Amino acid sequence: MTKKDSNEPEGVVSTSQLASQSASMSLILQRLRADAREQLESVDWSLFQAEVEDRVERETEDYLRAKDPSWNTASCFLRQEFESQAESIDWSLFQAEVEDRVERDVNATLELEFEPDLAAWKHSALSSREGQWSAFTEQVIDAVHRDQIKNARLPLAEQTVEYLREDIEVSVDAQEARFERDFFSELQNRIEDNRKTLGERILEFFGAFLRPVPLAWGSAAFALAVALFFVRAPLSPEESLPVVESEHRVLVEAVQFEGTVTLSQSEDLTVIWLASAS
Amino acid sequence: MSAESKTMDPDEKIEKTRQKAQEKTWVERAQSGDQEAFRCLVERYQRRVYAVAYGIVRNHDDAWDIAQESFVKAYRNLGRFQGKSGFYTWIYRITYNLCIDSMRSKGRRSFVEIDSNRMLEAAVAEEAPRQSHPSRVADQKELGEIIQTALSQLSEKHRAIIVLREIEELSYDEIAEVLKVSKGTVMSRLFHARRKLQELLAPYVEDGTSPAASFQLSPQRS
Repeated sequence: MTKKDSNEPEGVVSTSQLASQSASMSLILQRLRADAREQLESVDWSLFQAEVEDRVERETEDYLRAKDPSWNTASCFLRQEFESQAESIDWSLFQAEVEDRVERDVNATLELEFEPDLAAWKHSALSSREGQWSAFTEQVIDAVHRDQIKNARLPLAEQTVEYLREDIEVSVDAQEARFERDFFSELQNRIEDNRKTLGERILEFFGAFLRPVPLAWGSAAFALAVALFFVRAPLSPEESLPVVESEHRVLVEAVQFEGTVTLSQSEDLTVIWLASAS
Repeated sequence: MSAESKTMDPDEKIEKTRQKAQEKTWVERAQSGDQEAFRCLVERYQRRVYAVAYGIVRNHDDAWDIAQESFVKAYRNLGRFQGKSGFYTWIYRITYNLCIDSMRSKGRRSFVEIDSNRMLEAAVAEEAPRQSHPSRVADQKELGEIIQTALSQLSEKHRAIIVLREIEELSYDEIAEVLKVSKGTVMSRLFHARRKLQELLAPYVEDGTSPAASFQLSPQRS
């Protein structure tokens, strides 16, 4: 409290009082300003901004909708389209690509910076060790070699299968013209040959011979031929056997022969082997 | 062809079903004496039958002959084919049996074994001194010969199972159907075939400089 000036009338504030009041007010104002700044800084203006933008957008939409009803449908469609497109994008891929690009850039920068030094270091290290391999290095090389061998085994077996596959393809390709031209016709001939009965085959074989000769001679020759046909040495496994079709029944009552007679029966074929004793 | 591990896309499935239905019709028509239907069946499978035969007997002429004979047998026995399995498993079975018969009747296997043993020994012996030098890597032809020899050293059964599985890409069930053995036998035979193949190639790889990594084999095209 300051002492009152005796010359000043009662109720009038003295200059010194004003000065002291102003000083205390200034402190209060400073605090108020600081509080206000703090409050302003604590406000999330992005939310405020988003709210404003949202309101502007809504009001624009309302205005446009009021003006043109088709806008509503169009905006809905556009929004849906955008949302569906955004959903269909694989953002992980996008992110991976970005990361990849960043990494590449970093690497490129690092390589540019360190590559000359590394190359020089490598060169000097190699040239200083020329022909001088330590026991450790030899062991490492041996281990690498063993590993190579282990790995090489499987690929070689796989390559063999690959080789076989290619070899078969080459062979099929080489026969392509034959497949196109001959396969079925050759097959038909074989089927035709198989279809003929034993009698037909014998007649076909001796047909040309039998026609010009007299009947008696012909019959004798035919009988001889049939006999020879049966007495011949056993067929080698490569030769095809004469086929007797089921509708032509053959009844063999007795076989007289000096030598070994073997009767061989399979499901649809009966073969009589006659091997002479000599 | 259907490997178990493979997954088919819907178009492929539709195409396969269509082909099966078409094949069934052809078989039925052929059974009632339609030559044209039989021709269709032949044209569809002639190359594959030849490929299986060639894979097993390793000779062009024999393979051609066996392929022809397979279809003759199929034609003669069409009436017996009940259609429980696919036509191709049936014709493969006929082909496989004919291959085995052919190899046995010609005694080729024993000849091949002796002959290919010698070839393999000779090839490995020739290669051995060179293997110590890393810069000398055997050329394609030499490795090709070794592989050819290793293949011919496999038994017909082992070769057949490799051809059916690796080349024709049949499933284990289909192979079991063709060979008339159980699925377990198929798997065990395939395992032994692969192991045998690795054993045959092991001497070359073990002492060598692992040329396999640098080789791209391809049979010579004529």
